[in-house]
Amino acid sequence: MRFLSPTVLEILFIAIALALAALVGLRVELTRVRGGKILAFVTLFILPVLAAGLGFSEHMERAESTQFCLSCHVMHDFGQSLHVDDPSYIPAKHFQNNLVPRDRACYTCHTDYAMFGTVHAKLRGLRHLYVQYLGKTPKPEEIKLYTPFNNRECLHCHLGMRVFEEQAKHNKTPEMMRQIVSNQMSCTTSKCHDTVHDVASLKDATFWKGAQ
Amino acid sequence: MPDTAGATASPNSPTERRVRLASVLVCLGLLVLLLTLVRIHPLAFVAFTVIGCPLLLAGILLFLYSVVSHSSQA
Repeated sequence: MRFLSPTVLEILFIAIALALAALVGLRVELTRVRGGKILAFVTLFILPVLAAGLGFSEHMERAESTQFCLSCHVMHDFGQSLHVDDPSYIPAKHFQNNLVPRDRACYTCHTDYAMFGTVHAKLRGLRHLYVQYLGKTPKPEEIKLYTPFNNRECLHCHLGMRVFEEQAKHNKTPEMMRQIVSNQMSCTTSKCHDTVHDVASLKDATFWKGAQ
Repeated sequence: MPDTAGATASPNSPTERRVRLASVLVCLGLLVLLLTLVRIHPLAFVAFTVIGCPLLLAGILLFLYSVVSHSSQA
């Protein structure tokens, strides 16, 4: 029963709701009797509300997918940077080694792991949609983060990892780990992991073919 | 045997016309919703929120209005 994925079930549900709503519209005289009134209430109120809720939930889920993020033309180079054959590119290293789920690669790092992080990410996504379709789209190399990348997003996975905590680079001084955890020393801008997407230099990059 | 409220509805009564229009709006909304689920793309989300949801909302509100207006007539 693998074909009965949640998406297929949702589509099936919406199709049934559509068929019932069409039935009520074509045979409106059905609503003259009590059973028809109940049918109309279910098909023109309860099912559409449920369908809209399911649709919204499905679209929110899809908005977290790598495919969704990279479907805007301006994001093409950022998608390419996931395939660079150079482990110093942090996103490429994470993507190619499955350190982030490939189908949610963008969202995994670019959401705030705080109480309203998901809400903030969705609101930013709406702004991106506005800019994409109604605003002036910037060049890929002009795209910057709203705020400096917070170590919290890295530590969501890395904190507690033996390979991270025992690595000599992360313990050069006794204070270093505390500074990393408190975000006083940035992972990405302290000359440690500062090659992130770096889309301006992709012209000269070679790409790993294995992740196609 | 039709119930009391049903007996007040005649063929092509305003209530039935509203219910029919509501079902058309709901059908269109659900159709848009179905189509937007075919592809994963930002435009699908835009179509869902800008076209599908307003159609569904209009259909639901029109249906509820037809119920309320029919009750007050009865």
